[in-house]
Amino acid sequence: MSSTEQGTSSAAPAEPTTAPESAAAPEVPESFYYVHGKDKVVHKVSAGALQHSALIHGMISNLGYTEEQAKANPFPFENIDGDILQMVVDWCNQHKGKPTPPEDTNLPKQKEKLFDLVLAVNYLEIKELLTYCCKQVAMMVKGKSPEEIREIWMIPTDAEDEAAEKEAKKRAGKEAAGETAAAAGDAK
Amino acid sequence: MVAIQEVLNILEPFDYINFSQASKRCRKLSTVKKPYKVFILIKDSPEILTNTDPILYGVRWTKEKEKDATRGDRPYPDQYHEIRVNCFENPLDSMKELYLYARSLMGIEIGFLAFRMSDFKGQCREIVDRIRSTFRGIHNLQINGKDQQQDELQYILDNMKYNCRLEILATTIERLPLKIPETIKQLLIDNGSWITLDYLMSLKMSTIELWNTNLTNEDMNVIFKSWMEMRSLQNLKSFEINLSNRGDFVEAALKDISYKKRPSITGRYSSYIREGPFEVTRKDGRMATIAVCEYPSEFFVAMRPQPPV
Repeated sequence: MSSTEQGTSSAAPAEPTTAPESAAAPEVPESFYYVHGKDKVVHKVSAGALQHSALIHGMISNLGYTEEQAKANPFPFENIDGDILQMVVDWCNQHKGKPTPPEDTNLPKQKEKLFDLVLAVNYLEIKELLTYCCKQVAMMVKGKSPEEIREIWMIPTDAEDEAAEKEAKKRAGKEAAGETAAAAGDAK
Repeated sequence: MVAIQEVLNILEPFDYINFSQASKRCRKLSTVKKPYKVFILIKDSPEILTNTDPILYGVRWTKEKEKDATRGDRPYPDQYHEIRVNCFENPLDSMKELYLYARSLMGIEIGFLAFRMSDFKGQCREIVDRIRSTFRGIHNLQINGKDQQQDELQYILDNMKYNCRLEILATTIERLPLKIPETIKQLLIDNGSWITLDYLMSLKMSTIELWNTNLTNEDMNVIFKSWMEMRSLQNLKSFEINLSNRGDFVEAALKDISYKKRPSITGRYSSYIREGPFEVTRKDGRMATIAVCEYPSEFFVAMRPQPPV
């Protein structure tokens, strides 16, 4: 579970304010939303942190949920692994209300994780994080030969692609035949 | 799919080419045309570089097996050349093959092609015949080499297809005049000891830079007068030539020419002006400035006609 407090404190100004409390504008309480991935682990995230995601921002902008309503209706992202969603939430919290740096060195080194993160970030429409991830993915093949690129990015060979295509056709043919047989059965 | 395109957009040009060759599907994914200008160096280990400032990515082909899969980077004050070295039995043909593939993939243009004659002693004709049909529409052709054969240099000039700028940095043993196509816009000759006054006045380019000529201030006087009387160099936008005698430039080169001394000038070389600028007027009313400049330690004359109204 991610800590929203951590996110808030990281976005707080370094210098404490010296203005008397009575003169300060009343603070608008921050609203929070809840998201979960494939593992159903719910993450509490502030609306400010979620602004990085164009998809979620679009979803929540007109909801006007109360805290209880938000808690009761977490956004389900069943297509995203729990640990990947955790990374995304952490990144959003770390960069809440801050200009994003030109580079991000805290991305996963493990390529499978990085690829999953790219897909998740692309789906959630987090533009800056997508750019960082894509840069890192591009760097993986810098100066590599076509064969090395195929290996690093786990690209199927032409033969593998052809076999997969054949298999897909075969499966589609079988399904179509099954449907025809079922339709004929229904007609009888 | 969008994520793949994001990654492909970030890839360096040669990584992009290599990705497209990873499989048939990758080739299909690489159909987004990314126009690049490339620099081509024709030498014993030929190179292609992409014009992607400030880092130029390149590939060099060599016959030396021990250099295969190494790097040959070149740092410059405002540029960096990041070069991968590949070993092939026939470097030139391998380079042509990659160029043709890249052209079909990305729609690249040749911004600059340099031909190092000294690497192909007596075989320049053969090299030209091997590359001319592949490397067409060259924006800027540069020819290098010391004491080359006149007929070989002329063969390059006659058979390569270049359309904007020609830089002849090569010298020939014979030091005879070269036949240069009139269709190009800019000409630079670095070793112009063979250039005569008549030859210069027959040129039709708009930008002319001549160095190491034996032309005198008296010759300059003829050139300026000829331009003012609209007898030659009518397309001129910029003319630069080495100065053999700075001392009597005004007396000899501007003799019998009506000119006004302008207080200052802006633009290229303005801070290098040592004498002038002098303003002269052509008979149709078009004006030009003439100045003696020094850069970096050589004196030259710069003539800049004003653009036509």
